[in-house]
Amino acid sequence: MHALDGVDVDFARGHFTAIMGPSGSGKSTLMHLLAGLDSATSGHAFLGDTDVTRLDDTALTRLRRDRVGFVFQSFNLLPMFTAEQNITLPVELAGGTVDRAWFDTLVSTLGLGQRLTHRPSELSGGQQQRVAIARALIAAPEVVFADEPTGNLDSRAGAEVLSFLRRSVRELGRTIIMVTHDPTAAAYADRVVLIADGRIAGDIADPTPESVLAGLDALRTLDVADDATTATTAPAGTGTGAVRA
Amino acid sequence: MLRLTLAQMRRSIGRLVAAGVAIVIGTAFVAATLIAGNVITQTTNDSIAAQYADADLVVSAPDYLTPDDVDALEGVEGVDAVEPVQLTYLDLQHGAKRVFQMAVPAPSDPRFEALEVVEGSLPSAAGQVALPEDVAERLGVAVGGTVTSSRNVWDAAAPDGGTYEEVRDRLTVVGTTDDPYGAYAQMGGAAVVAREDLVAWESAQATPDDPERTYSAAMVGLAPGTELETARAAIGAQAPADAKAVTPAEHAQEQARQLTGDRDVFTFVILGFAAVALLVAALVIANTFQVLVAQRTRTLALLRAVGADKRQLARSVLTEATILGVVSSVGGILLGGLLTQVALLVARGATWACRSRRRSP
Repeated sequence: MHALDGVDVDFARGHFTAIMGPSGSGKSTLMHLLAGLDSATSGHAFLGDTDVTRLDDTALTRLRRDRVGFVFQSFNLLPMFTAEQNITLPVELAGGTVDRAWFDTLVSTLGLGQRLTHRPSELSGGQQQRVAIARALIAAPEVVFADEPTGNLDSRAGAEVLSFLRRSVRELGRTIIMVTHDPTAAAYADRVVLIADGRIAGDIADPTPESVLAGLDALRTLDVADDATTATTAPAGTGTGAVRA
Repeated sequence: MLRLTLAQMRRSIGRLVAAGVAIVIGTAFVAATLIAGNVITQTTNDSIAAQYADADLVVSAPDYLTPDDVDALEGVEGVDAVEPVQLTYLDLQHGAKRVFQMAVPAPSDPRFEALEVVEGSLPSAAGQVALPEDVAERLGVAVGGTVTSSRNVWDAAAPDGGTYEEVRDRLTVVGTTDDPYGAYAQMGGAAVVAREDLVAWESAQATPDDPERTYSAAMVGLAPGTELETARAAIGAQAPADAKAVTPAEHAQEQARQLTGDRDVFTFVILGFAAVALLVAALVIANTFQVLVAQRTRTLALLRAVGADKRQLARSVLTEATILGVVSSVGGILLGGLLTQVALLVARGATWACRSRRRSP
């Protein structure tokens, strides 16, 4: 029983990286460690030069406020706020003023211009997730973590959301790290990191659905062989993850 | 952030209203008790003060004032009018109707008039009486009519060494009065007779063993332009050592304090119940907010994820509680005031009902 293990991985700035792996491989744990949502029992996670695992609660709050954005599987919009209010929420919480130019850029890139006054209940799943992406990007964070962002969407809406994520990286210069178990979704990324049993089991640059599937298949055969011969007993949460320039 | 708080409140309006009702009931209870207590005290004060009408000062002594003391007051510089407080009881009859009625002398100065004349006038000579309107109606007598007054007279020349004899006088009703400020409301109203009659009746009733006539207090009217404090000091120098000269309001307050000592205990008992109501309200509020926070775990976690710090969230909940508390408390105070008003109206309506019952034959 180990929630992640000997991970050692870098994520490049300005790239769209997908983390893949079978259930229980530790991909969500890895992301939570990187984002400072979970604390590591040992090892380090860096965002730029900041060791996220060494920050106290106040510093973590500031980190989440200024340097990190989140997109969740279940959207997590505030139902009583309009789309615009949801998007600007992080800035409001930080007590800052909304950069209107950046807001307009986000809204037009994500195609939300007609939806700003609508509440989440009046939006489709895909639209809600686009609002969530805009919210994650409004403070222009150094990195956006997306946890199964297409998990609750049908394939068409999912494809739409993924191409918006890719556009955010290509056109707006953002950095996105996405956890997914869907090879098609992973293929939208610039790079796919495969994780199995808390270890890096593969690294695919410029992935296609086919190359990702092939990588996963290789992983599965590896698993069978592994299970027969090794029993890993390293402490939970060990390893080093980093997002570097 | 305030917008977020308000939005959260709108979503939880049902629970908040439930907690708010508990607060409203608690505060309304407290407010009504305090307001009613105040109204009672004020009413008592006013009605006591009303007996002294527009007198400038009331001179009273712990035991009594003698007629000499009263006469001495008239000599004090700046004193314009003096009238000792005096009352007696009349046994009035008209036809088959009979009424025991408290009576006061006709005031020697308009400043001492506590009653308002409705019809006719106050007595200006012996053998006249002015009755409260409702008493006149009960006796079935109108202005210009007569009533019979029975009283006892001490007959020292009686064969067995002195006895009471019943004497009947015919009194002419010269007016009817109203008591708008409730000066004599607690004594069932007051008839007004000529001072000379009242003095004569009292001395006729006195036995040789009775002590000299004394007064509990005397009303004083000051000459125009006389400083109240100057006159107070002058009276203090002239009156018996333990006598006090106070304004009617001060006098009423002191009397009321003696009267309402028990009522304060009553107020405290009610406030005890109110404290229980407030305690229950506090528990309801604490419980409501525990539930609200538990319900919002997801929302709060999300807010933390998008950069809210713990203090912001705590402040939001506290703001919510403050808004709930202030709004419900104001509502409770208004409700308490309203209830008191309604209760007073009902009480007044009951008084009217009593009066009209008495009026009907």
